[in-house]
Amino acid sequence: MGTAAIFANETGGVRGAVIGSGVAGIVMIILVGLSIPFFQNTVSDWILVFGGNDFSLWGIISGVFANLLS
Amino acid sequence: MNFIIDEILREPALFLGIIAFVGLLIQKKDVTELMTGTIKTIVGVVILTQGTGMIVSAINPLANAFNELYQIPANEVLTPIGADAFIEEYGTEIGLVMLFAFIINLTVARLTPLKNVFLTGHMLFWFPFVFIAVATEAGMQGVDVVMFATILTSLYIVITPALIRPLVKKVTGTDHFTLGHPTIGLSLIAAYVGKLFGNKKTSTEDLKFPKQVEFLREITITSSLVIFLVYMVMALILSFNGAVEMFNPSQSILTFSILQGVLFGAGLTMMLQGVRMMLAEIIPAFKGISDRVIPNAIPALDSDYVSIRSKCCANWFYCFDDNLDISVSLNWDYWDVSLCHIAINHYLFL
Repeated sequence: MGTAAIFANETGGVRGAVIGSGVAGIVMIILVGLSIPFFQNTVSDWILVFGGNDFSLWGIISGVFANLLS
Repeated sequence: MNFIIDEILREPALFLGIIAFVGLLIQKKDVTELMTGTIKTIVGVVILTQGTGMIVSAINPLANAFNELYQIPANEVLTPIGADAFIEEYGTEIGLVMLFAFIINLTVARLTPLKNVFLTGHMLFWFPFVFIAVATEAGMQGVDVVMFATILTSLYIVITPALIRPLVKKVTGTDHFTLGHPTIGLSLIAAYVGKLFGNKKTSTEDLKFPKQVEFLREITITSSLVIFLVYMVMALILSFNGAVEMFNPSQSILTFSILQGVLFGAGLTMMLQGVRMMLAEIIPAFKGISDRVIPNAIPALDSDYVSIRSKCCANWFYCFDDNLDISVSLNWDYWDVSLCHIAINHYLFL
């Protein structure tokens, strides 16, 4: 959340940094959970530890795509 | 081919060293500058990695303690083949996608106004890894997998650094680099939310600490203290569960906590030193590439660079950096505390 907090500090000062990184933290937890089904049989172990960021977000997006394609 | 992928591209130190070398070579620097720039880049990354290793070993007992406390049932609901096995099986595909996507990135930077070149080498590895996993889960095979992952990886490494670039410029005051890191999405969210609810007048930089606690602004000290306190609290919780000896039976919990705390502080200090050292070399070198080959190209770099170059540089946010997120992650699907998300991203990423 450090990087997120730095950006939020820039756009919204102290209050922005606290609220912004707080929201981002919640999103992170949700993203981990939502992306797990797309990695169920392969690397969900890895996503549990390192996901919640763009790995999860783009995993979800690409997973929806991939399911449409195949 | 495999040598290049396994031995160089996956080794951030060597990969960035080569980039520095090529950049300096293109600028026709003399041997001294060539050697200095290249080796200092590599050494900088190695210092950074070693510092990271210290941080990880300072934190690891905590991760084990969490697992112990919550009695996380190993693979009760999930049955993944696991990241290691997956990499072994799809290593070649990952390497191919890395190369193709990077070439596409360079081409885009050369031909379009999107000038960012994705240089976070280890991320260039993990994104193909993620997309290939998604593709195989969806039942794709062979060439389809590589094509799918190449397209997605290229899109990611071209689009996201470009999206965050204006913010990076605002925060760091320079337009010489942007962010190339999976935290971009969350950063954009935080920045947007911050804008909605924030108040620009007070920066965290202006936070006035009372004189007596001014030492807290020093990152080495804050981080050591924070980790020390976390250990003490954890030890207390563990002792209720009669498991306190899992930390270190041969040392008192106080000594152990202090040592883990300062180990963390030392690691973090080292890491920052390494980042500064390599940044000082790689940015001028990269300019060589950008000026001659891809006019106005800018590197997309790891999140540390933003933290360190930001005007609120080395402030206490850093100890809560993404690379050291200590938070409890709920497994959404099963509503249990599935893993205490000590996401020490650096563990794998640097």
